Amino acid sequence: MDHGHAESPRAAQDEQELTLGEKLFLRETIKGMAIVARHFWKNLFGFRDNTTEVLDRKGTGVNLVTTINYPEEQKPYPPGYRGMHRLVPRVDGRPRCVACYMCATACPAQCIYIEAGEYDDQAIEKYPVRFEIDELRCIVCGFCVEACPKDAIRMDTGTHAPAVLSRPLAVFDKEALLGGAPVELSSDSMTYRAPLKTVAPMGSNEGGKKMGGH
Amino acid sequence: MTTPTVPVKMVKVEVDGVAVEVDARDNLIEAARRANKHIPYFCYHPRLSIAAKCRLCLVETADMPGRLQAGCQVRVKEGMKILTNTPAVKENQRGVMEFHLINHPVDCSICDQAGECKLQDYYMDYDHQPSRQRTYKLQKPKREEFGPMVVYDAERCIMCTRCVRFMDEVAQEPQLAVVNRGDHSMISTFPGQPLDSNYSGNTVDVCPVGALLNTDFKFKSRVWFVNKSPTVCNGCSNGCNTYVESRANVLYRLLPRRNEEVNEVWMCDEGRLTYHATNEARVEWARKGRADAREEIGPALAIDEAKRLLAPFAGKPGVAIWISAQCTVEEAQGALTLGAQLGATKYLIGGKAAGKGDEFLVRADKNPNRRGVELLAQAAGVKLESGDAEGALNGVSALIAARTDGLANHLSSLERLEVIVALAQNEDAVSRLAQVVLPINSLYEQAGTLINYYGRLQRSWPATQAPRGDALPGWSWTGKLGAALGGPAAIETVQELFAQAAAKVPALAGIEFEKISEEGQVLPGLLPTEFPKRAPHPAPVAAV
Repeated sequence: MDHGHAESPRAAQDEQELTLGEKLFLRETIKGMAIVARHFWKNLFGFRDNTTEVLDRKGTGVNLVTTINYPEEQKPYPPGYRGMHRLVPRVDGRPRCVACYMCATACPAQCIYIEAGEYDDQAIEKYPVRFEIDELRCIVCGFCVEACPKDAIRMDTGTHAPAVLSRPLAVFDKEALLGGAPVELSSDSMTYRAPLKTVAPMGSNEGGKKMGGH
Repeated sequence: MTTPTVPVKMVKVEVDGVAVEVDARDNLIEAARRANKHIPYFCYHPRLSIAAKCRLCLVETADMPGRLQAGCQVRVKEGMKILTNTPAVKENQRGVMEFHLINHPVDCSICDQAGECKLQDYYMDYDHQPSRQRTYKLQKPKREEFGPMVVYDAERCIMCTRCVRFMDEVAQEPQLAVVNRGDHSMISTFPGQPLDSNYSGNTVDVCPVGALLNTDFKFKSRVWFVNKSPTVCNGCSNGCNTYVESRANVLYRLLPRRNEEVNEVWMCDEGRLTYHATNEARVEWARKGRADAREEIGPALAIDEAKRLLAPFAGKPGVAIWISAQCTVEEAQGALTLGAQLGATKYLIGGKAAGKGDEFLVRADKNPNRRGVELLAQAAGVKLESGDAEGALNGVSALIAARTDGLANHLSSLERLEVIVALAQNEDAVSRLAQVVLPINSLYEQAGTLINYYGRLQRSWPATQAPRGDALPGWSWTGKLGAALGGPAAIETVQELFAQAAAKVPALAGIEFEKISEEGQVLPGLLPTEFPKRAPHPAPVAAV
């Protein structure tokens, strides 16, 4: 492939003639060593305030050292950061998810695996028996969150997917994903419906059909 | 069902300015369809009586401007000008859609119809406005089990009554009715009488919304994940045309495929469940050894083992070939060729036990290709003996079974046999007894042809993308066995094998596998003189 070296500004910069001082290297070496030495002394004698959060460390002389001791110290992620998924619970702890497969359909990495099941006694009859996300496959695009009609999956945990020692451990199941603050929306009218009770439309149905949900 | 004897009268009409010639018996919906215009409808169904309940198909005609007429109910007449796009029509469509959706629970996320739902489609096409409903929606029974296969949700129901009319008119087992009035009306079964018709699955198909759902498919998969493949149902010898819906190696459901001369657009519940045998209890790996001594050894070694066992019997009396009537034409042809090579002295035709038939789509013979196997055997000049007979395996010492259906009736005889090589699809008593078991594709997993009870050659397309375990079509195994036993090299493609069969069978003469259409074709000289009373069938052929 032709990258057009001669035309690109980067190439022009690379090919710039060095000045005499630069050609000698001595002055440049000393300049570099000075920078190293400055940071060396700063890190050796400088101090920083470990008590405050990383982003709050401001002011001259207080935080000469900019290095953050990861993972003991961590910079908080900005708001809106797409972190590790969570399955949002209802107030009673069951997942809000109704296994509609919208996230799995929208997912470009095909990292979501769902198996739907049926509640016998709930107005919302469908729920995920299995809900698994392969966090290694996930490309953190957030389409699943946008696709969800029930606000049942969010990426608001503020953490990223943890490092794991083997691939199977990166597949997070329903129990691992379910957590965080429960969400209840005013539009969740179905949740407040009386538990499913099928009325016999035409008098008695004894000995006849088996009624749904009972 | 039967071809009309009256000549078709055509009339000229105009649909939105497009002149088109239509059948004089057409209604406005069909007339518009011929002009490539779409009039939306819920309750109309070409094969059911007209209810004109949904009011969505109202259109204008030029001779009555401003007055909307039901497109399903009004017939065309000469010179009629149909207007499907006027403001009044549009306003009606929006209004009707709003009424249909006023109490709709919009639980698409837990509704299996989502993706193939007319309410969803028409909302996007003809309504597309937010709900103006400011009070609580009407609550009705959900999840009412109508019968073994059908579950009903009254909230999703739009009262088109297609299901009621289907049960009355097509299935002719009136098991559904409308109860209550106004927005409280819903579909119901009769007290003490569940929807247990063998055709109940079709009510789910005709339901334009998610009110009736198939319990067998419920929550198994979303409809947009599955691929449709044209196949032929292997539930009975009627050979209903079907679509198998599958994803990867798993089949999810069977849907009827239109064929006016076989099943119109219907199929029976029994047939809908035949795909389970493809998903469950499969023989997956080629193996040797009986019962607990079994050992999975892979296809090449299994063929070697079969060769070692069968070679001493070649050319000697006592070799029997068992051909199940579940085999495709190609599988049966392969088995017959292998039999001829080994000098088999006995050919047996087996299959699933006969069951109940009816006057519509269900035949008593539960095997899809008995006719085909018989034709091939006749052409090969061998005498097919019934595998059902007591002592059918007497005098046999080595048996090769192309599919094991029906063999389990002869367990005591099988235990006495010296060699059993079974091409088996599902684990059963026979696959436990056989010394060599070669896994075989189900009919839904392979390309092949079947001949139904009245002699219609039908082609089936494979529905899965990769073989399950070592499974191969039966003709592939018999070809390999034949080659291993010193015969000609195995035939590699189903097309060649069909050509081999077509060269021998007079009825198949001149037919090419790839040229068999999705509807199939009637083979010459096979049509019976009498058909079951209500069964769709081809026009009787004049005697030559």
